[in-house]
Amino acid sequence: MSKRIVQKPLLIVFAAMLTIYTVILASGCSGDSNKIEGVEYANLTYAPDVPQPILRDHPSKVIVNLETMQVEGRLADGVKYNFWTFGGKVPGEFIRVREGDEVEFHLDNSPLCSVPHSIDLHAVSGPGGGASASQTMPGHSSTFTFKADHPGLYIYHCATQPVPLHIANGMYGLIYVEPKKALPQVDHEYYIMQSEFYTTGDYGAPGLQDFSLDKALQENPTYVVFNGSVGALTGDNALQAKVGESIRLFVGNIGPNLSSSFHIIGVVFDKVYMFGGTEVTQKNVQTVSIPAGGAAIVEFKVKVPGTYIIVDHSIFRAFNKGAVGMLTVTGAENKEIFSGKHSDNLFYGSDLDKKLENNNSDSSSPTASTSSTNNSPTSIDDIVAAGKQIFSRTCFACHQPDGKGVPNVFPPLAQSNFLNADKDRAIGIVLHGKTGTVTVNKKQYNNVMPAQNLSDDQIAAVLTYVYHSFGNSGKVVTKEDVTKVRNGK
Amino acid sequence: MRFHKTVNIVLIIIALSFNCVQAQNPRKISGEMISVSSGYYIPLFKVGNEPTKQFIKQFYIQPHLVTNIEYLEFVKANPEWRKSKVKRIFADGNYLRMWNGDFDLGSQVKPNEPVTDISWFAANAYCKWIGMRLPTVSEWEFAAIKNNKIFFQERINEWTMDFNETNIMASSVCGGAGAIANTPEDYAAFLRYSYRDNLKANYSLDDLGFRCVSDSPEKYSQQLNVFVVKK
Repeated sequence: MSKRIVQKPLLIVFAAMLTIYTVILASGCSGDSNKIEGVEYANLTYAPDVPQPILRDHPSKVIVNLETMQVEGRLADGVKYNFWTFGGKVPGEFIRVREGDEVEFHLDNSPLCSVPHSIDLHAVSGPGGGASASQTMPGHSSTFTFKADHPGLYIYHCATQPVPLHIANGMYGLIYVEPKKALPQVDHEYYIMQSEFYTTGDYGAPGLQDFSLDKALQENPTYVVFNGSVGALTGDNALQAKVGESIRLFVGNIGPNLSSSFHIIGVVFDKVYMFGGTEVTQKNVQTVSIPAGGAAIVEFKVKVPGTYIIVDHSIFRAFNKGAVGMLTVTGAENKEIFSGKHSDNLFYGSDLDKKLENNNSDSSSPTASTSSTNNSPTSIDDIVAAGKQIFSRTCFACHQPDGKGVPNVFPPLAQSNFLNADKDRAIGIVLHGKTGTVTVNKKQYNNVMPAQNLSDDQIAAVLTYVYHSFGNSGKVVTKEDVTKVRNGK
Repeated sequence: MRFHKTVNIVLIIIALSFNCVQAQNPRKISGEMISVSSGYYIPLFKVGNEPTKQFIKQFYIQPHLVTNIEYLEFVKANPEWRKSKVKRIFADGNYLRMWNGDFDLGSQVKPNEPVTDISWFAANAYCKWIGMRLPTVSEWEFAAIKNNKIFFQERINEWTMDFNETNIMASSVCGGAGAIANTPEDYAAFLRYSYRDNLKANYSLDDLGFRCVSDSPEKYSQQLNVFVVKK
């Protein structure tokens, strides 16, 4: 009885405090609201574009309409594939919502599809990430709602059986749940998705390619690509920026099997939001590991103009399976950050070279030649032999030991109309490199060949070798020819 | 031997029936009923502690999917299955959507091609009407494995009696389905099962047809007789 009397004044005080607190909340002093206000349609974009940042300071109801479609499309030049897609392209449309939003998701399966489809959004908390709620037959539409309660960058993919096939055929994309406190503004945001394709034919085999279950089970993809096809991010499709601009990349890797070692040649990432989470986990990072079914956000500033190559640094995938993209940066040079090449001088070998030379005095290698008057070999056969050695150190990785190049990526030297047509042009390309579109034997290539760090002698030798090999025209390139082109005459 | 005799009877009946229905240009209804002899079948999914092998009794299955012209006869004889009269709980709004009217196939629909845009209820009723039934999933898969040229050439999916009983999505999302499968590398089978799993009995779809089965050839021939009389 006495206890109750004591408690009564306390209760009154508590009630008064509660009233004050409620008044504060109602007057809006507590910062941004958690109350859902308004309805809007999500703005969806195709890669490499990202929807504009969300400027709201409150959550809303957001309606997302995504249509699953099966379309025949280009996997590489001359190579076609029957893609299964979200929105008609691979990767699927980028979805951007804000933390706290109530997302009403409509999954429409085109009547032209042959099989049911669905969606598992890794941003959803709930069984299957929406998969069971969204199983949809062709010509039907499913609706479900979820709370975007976890900010960050997430994969979405189809989750209809057999799930690996639906993913391997192209059914994936990214959803970004923008944190209440948005990331700092940048000049460019881009969307990159890495994925694999398993085709019955080899890399570059022309025509419509079927899915190869064997290769998929062996986790041995025919193609590893950015944004759904070889060349989707190169040449005219390269990402663009100007010197001094800041860039944020939303990068996903769906696999379906491989992890990505995401790297941009010549760029150090200033900030990395590992796994697509909301914290900067590292600064100053060269390569970001992105698991299959995972993502990462990277930010950096471009300081020097040029072409930056985007790769999976599991580098055979970049060289031979298509995992290459480009970022083209235009603007003024900054010699303080990067000088470019200052000079090119002769080098007669180090002391170590000389020691090796004494131990191996019968060496016929042209670099180890002891001829005091002239380093260059004399007879055509010697020149061709020397050129071959240079070729197999410098050129073969791209143009291949047989000179046939890599279909769609690196042009052939073998029986190349482009090569045989113009000797001086060939010298110029070895000297200065070549960027952009070239047509070789009626096929277009769009890639970058860097300038080669070779002396005039070496360039003469390697080109003479190339012209004397692979069914080419048998031209001779002399040191004088090279010097003439180098001096621009 | 007994089967051959029966087939002959069926052929005779069909030959006779042609006189009546030739005007509508029907395809041969049967004559080549496929006898699926009994045997063991390994289903795609493990079922609890049951033995993996399943015994399938002998049955007889139509060698082709039921055609538009055949289905038209059914609709004429059973007004409740007319496009204009069918109840939505038995067939959704896409029921016979390519047909021009109750008895008019229109220009897009070819008489001798498989009828599609029909619900499970409709397919089930048709098979009953000719004295047969829909195959079970196990029977269909078993027959298809043995005669894959006949079953997979038309690229049309087929209704089965118990189409959604496995429910692989409910039992396992994503990679989990592989773990409960007897043959996880059989992707084509997974595609069929997930297709069936997502059906509802009133769905009518462009690439979904059906064929009927019978437990005995005698029964089939008898009922076919009734069928012919109806025509």
